Amino acid sequence: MTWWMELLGAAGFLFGLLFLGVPIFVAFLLLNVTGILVLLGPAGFGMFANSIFTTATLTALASVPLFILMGDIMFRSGAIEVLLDSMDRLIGRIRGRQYVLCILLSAILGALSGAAMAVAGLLGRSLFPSMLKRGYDRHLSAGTILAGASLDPIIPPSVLAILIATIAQISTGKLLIAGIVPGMLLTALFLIYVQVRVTLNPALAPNVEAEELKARGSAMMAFVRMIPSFFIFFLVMGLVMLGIATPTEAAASGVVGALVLAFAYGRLDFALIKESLNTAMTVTSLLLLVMCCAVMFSQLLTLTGAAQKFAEFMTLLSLPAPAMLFAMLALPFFLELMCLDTVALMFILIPLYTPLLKIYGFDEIWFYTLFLVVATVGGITPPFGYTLFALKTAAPEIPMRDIFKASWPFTWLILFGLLIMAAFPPLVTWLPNLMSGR
Amino acid sequence: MDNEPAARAGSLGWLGAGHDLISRLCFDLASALLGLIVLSFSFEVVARYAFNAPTEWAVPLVSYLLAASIFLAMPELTRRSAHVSINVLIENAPPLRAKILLFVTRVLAAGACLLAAWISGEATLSQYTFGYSTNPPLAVPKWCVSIFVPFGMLSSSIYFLRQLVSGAPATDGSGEQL
Repeated sequence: MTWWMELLGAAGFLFGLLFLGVPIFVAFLLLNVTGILVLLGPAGFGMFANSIFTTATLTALASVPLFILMGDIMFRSGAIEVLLDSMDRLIGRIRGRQYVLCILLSAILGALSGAAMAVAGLLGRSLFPSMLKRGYDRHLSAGTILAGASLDPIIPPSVLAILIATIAQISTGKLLIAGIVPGMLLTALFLIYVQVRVTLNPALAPNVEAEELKARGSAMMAFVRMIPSFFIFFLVMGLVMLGIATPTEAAASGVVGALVLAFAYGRLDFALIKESLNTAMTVTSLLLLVMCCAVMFSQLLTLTGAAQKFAEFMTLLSLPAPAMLFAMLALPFFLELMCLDTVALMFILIPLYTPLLKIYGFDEIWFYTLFLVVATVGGITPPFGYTLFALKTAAPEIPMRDIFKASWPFTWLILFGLLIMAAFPPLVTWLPNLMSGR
Repeated sequence: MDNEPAARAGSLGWLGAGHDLISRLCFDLASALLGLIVLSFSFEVVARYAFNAPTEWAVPLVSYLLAASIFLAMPELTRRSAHVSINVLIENAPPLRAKILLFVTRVLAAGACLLAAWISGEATLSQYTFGYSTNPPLAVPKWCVSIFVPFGMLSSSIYFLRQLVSGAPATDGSGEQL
């Protein structure tokens, strides 16, 4: 069997199972067991068992439950309410202030949690109704929530970044840190966009005078109240950046910091700890189970030489580097549009891309940050983006048609941001390059 | 989150209730192990950076705890139908076709998990037979860590079979948190 037949056969088999509705980890289980049977026979089963064991015992992956746990404790500790109030106070009296609040709050939540759908759900339930009540435009309100939520998997700590780094076998710390500037760039683009829209069409936001601005103390106090949450973010990312701790150790420190914060806010009790542990365990097990069952696929691709031959075939096309980069980033985007799950996609494409990156000399941290942005934008791109459905679930009164309409301008904005990051790689790489070796 | 009625409907009386109870206890144990991961690494950070006395056991212990927790939590997640899947086809199909699709996916899932339980069980058995250990500095019998893989797979396989009989919904939405 030729390499392309193996590759197409595997992809067809996997996509078929996924579209049938088989759980993702089961689809990879079936694919890998079939692959082993075809290529190695039953003698290769030991390799499969070993692959599951080795992946499940990867210490680097322990950062996944720890970051999720940290975010969940922060959510339950009351820190989010404090941040919302403080941001609300600091933004002041500008037209369209709720749009600004929504975007900035999302960016901050991204630094605390990293799950786009969770944030879209949270803001859809809390901020969205209040925006509509105050007379904000429905499309732009929904759009800012979707855009803000899409920042979360980019701004560290990001579970997706940890998974990408583990699959691609690159520095987790560097890939996490690489998300900071792109996250800030996209935040700035969103803010500029909403301000331009509101300036051109004042009807999109109510008059500042008409808005109910509650007195909440001085701006200085509002800033001071945000410091504990920021401290935890800087503690975690600072430890990683300075090379003092591995991302996993930093994540554990973040969990302790979040517990201290919950204690300070008077919310720390057994129920909070138990619920947070349960949530973190649920998400972690779902995610890492897919990883344990899928890693063998990349080993099979390497074993058969299909990944290398795919790379050689792509180089035969003699595409210039920018065209190759475009193709490599467009492929996951279109596959996501076809409803393919982001995590599943990473396991298929990253092993194929790794040899290509070496041939083209692309910086791995830079490329996989762009890949992360593409994986994220898929979440808010109609018709199948997961984040769109998370918002719909949180705010059922808004028709799906309106959510789709709301998301497009921000999808284009993220793609524009991606273009800037692709054209100016130091935007992505300079911060990770400042780091020590970890 | 819980699909109690559906899951119960397919259970075989006390046997099913016992299975559910074990799964819930295992999930709680997995959560407790996650707590232990936090404690181990926090201790490691303090020992290393405050006292310049890094432990040798924290990193390997965390890796064993992680493996155990993933597969201990697995059956309860299967009970809740929480695993991530692409349900566009099932959700948009007419009721009868959706039922058939769900039946097929569960047969496949039960079969795949059973197969994985067998493969990983064989590996665990051979680790036990030949007395394999994990690597130093925290060498423990390898089967003590790997046993959780066949356990999680086998128990999940039974849940897929039970859901096949009971016709529980395709998903509980937990996967949306991803």
